[in-house]
Amino acid sequence: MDISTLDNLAVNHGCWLQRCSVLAKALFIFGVLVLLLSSKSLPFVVGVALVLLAMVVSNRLPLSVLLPLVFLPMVFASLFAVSLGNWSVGLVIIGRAGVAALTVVLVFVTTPPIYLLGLISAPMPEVFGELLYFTYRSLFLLWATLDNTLRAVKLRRGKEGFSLRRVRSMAQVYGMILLRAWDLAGRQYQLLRQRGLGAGLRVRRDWGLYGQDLVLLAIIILITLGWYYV
Amino acid sequence: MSHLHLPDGILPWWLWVGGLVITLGLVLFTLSRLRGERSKLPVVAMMAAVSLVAMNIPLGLPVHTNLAALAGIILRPLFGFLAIFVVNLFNALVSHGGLTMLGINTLLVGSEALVAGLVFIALGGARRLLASSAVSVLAALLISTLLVVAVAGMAGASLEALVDSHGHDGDHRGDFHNHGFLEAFAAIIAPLLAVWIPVELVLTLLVVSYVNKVKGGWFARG
Repeated sequence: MDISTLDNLAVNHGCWLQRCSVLAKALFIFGVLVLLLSSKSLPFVVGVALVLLAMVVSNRLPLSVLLPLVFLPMVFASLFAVSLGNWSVGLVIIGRAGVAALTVVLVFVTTPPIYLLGLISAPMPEVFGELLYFTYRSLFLLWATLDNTLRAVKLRRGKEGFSLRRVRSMAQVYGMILLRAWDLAGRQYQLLRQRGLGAGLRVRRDWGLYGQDLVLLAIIILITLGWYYV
Repeated sequence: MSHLHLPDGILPWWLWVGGLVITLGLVLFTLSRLRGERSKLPVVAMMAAVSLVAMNIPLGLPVHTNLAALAGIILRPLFGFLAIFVVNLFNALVSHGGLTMLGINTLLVGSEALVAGLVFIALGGARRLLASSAVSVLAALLISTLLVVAVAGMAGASLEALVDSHGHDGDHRGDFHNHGFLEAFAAIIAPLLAVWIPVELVLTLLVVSYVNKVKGGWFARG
């Protein structure tokens, strides 16, 4: 998972889904999950997947970025499906996991994180918003450190499979990242306090609904009809 | 068993709603403490970020670690649990674990932070650093694994009921096994566990020993 690619898509990719309001997109996720999880019909699950794929295509979102994210939950769901030993129900379980994942990812890659985190932290105490914001910012700082460190390790040790020596060298990478994080924590905290962290950081929240949201409404009505009739 | 990020649609609603309620209760309680100790905010956030980044460190195996037990040791149980909640929230936003499963996934992974933190304190903390870390991490991994098996058992009961309801439609053609869900599930994850538990344990101890070597007394800083 490359967080910078996802962040770049969420902020800079111009598409109709990005112009929809955050609230409408959150309600869209809620609606799809309710309908999906209350259905046992494979044709319905496949139908919702096709609708979502049409949304991906119409928003010109890169499948090479989205599909690996959707594939992973399907792998985990397949553990349960195989253990169950029933193909028909197993496919419904795998399909539900994949479609739910696609719904969430679709919204994540078309919503600037600052708005998304603002919405998520709205019902929680103020300090939670600060915690999410600080974590998200720290991710990018540590990612750069990790990238450089892993490149250095690769240059020094070459490509290698699993071995105790590799575990040992990776443990040093973990330890180094941890110590670097603690150094950064103090400095970042002081820096962000200057900008209002700890004294009620202003998290931008947008509760408005826009004309574009009608498209999402139409899609959820379509999915509801499918849920009712299929 | 931190690697099993449960996706949406496999657990009965009462289980994931229950998980969400318990997790939110613990998180709200911890946030009220964090409000009083605001200086802890950056380290909780950084630990969450470290955990997210750590998942991308290649070990040459099809498993990754997220240092949940270490989070409990470093931040103490409750703040460690809070960091793991934030990790799971970010993971759920990119579908690494279902959105409805946020509560259950946090309880499963966060149990490692809770157990490791509590055992580490009970054993005297940093005074016998490596021994305390080894016992606390091992206890955390075993309890987390038991919780995963328990949740899988409940999921299995619910999914088998789903199979029965399909079976009432008269369609049994999809059946290809007759044995129980839990036995089959255990047979699949046992080899993964056999690799993951030793790797996570050894890795955590190596990290603890490295950090202690570079910055002596770091774990005793309080």
